[in-house]
Amino acid sequence: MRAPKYLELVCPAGTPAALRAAVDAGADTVYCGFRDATNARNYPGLNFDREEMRAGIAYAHARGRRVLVAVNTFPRAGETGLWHQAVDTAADCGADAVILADLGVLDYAARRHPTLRRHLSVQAAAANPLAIDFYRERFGISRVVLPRVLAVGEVAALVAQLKVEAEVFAFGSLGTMVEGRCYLSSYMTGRSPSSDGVCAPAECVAYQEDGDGLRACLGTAMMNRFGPDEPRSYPTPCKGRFVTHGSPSYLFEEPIGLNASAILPDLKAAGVTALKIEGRQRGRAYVTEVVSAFRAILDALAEGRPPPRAAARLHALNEGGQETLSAYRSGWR
Amino acid sequence: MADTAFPATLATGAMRLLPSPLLGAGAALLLRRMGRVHPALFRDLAALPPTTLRIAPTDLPHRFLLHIGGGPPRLRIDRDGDTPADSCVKGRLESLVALLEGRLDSDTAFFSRAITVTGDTAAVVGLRNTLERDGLEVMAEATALLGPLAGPARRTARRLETVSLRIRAALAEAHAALHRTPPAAPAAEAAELTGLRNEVRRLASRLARLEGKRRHEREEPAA
Repeated sequence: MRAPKYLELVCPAGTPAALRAAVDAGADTVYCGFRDATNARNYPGLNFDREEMRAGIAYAHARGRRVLVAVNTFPRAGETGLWHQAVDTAADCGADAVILADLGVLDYAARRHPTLRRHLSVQAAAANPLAIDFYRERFGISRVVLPRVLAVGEVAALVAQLKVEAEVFAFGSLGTMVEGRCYLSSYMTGRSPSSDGVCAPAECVAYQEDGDGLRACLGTAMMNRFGPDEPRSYPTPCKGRFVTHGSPSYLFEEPIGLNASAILPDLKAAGVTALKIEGRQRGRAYVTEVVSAFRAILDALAEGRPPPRAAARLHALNEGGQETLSAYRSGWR
Repeated sequence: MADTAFPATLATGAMRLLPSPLLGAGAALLLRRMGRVHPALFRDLAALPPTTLRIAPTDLPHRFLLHIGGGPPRLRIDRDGDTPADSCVKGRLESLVALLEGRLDSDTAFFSRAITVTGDTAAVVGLRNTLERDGLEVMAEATALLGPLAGPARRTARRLETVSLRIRAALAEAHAALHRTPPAAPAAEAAELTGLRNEVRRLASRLARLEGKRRHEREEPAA
């Protein structure tokens, strides 16, 4: 396998074409999931069947890159078969690691496939040394994907106490709630991000033109109304604009995306091993553009050159057309 | 510009002039050819739940109806323009073709208002994700219908597109001169302005939130 330069670049793929695009654009590692509820991006037409996964892994391996398979949702009691099957299939297809969150699925993978690397998904929301060490001791995880709630200094303090690798988010949509524990969307739609793999499922989303504006609805509730000149965003409840005391405002979080490209040296100094790009639900044009930009920056940093300003144009790809350093700068609010 | 790049300006101009029946016949022919070249994609499209989408290029007088699911996809012109459909995708022809070819990310296009989606969102998401699995090239497929004339047709289209773009740029320049349009702000200033606008929007939103909280605390003082 190709040794990552500076930091390992872990990139999303929702389709076989996106996987090839990520590899061709310079990803060190690609993560993807199966076409069912076992992963947190279970949208219509997205993801891989067994043969597509096998072919995708072969394509990446032939070019010295790794593939991680996300099986990172939480099975309901008594319905673990699909999740076990997903872990077995990932191992059979030659995945380099599985990304897991549920204790039972972690236990199954550790017992059934002890040589298959296990990464702890962000869905497990493990953000302190005690929790992460528990997963390492009991289930032998090799890496933790840290929740998007830590300032860079907190990442450094945490990583210094860990005996596993740390992966952090570098670009894409932000989860404003405790990851894997958010019930807002499931309360409104009856389908859960944590068990069904969908936040704001497409069948519950409706956009309606309203004069010059656009209404965005989730189920029977309007989440936002965009004016003619306003950038738009997903109608997720955590980024809805609600009227309280007569004034509309984003009560929980603005529609905005993460871009940590300006602080990669800080993240490396904090002991981070890998950078994750969010966006398995996005198209291959997004994958190509974001991965290429981060590849150029990482290569420059590895060679001691000033990083190119390639990431300056990335803000338009983010939700609401805006970007932030989020908790990295100021910690969790 | 590659020979198979979609000549958006030329195609938009030509399609504006084409009568509906001719355009409909050409679109159906193109779809059939794509089905032959991309059988796996068309199998996936046939496996989707049956639905009808209205495709509405905002810079053309024509509206299309695309039927997918439950069989081979069918594309026809909606001559009335108001035939019921389950969903509608609106945008400039250039954006719609870029989406079809996977050159434009649909979420990015949605955030920036380049496209608007209404109606059955799940059907549009299913179509988008299915198209993303393959790589369609509209210009290559369309000119391939001409058989041995495909190569010359592509080269001619490329030249005409270059000329069209030059004419459009010259007309825009003349228009700006006639109307004494003030020079556009340099990119850095424009970006700063956008940033400041966004910051003001964020601050206004935060202020509203704080005011709401304060009012709430005043109305319901802690016991």
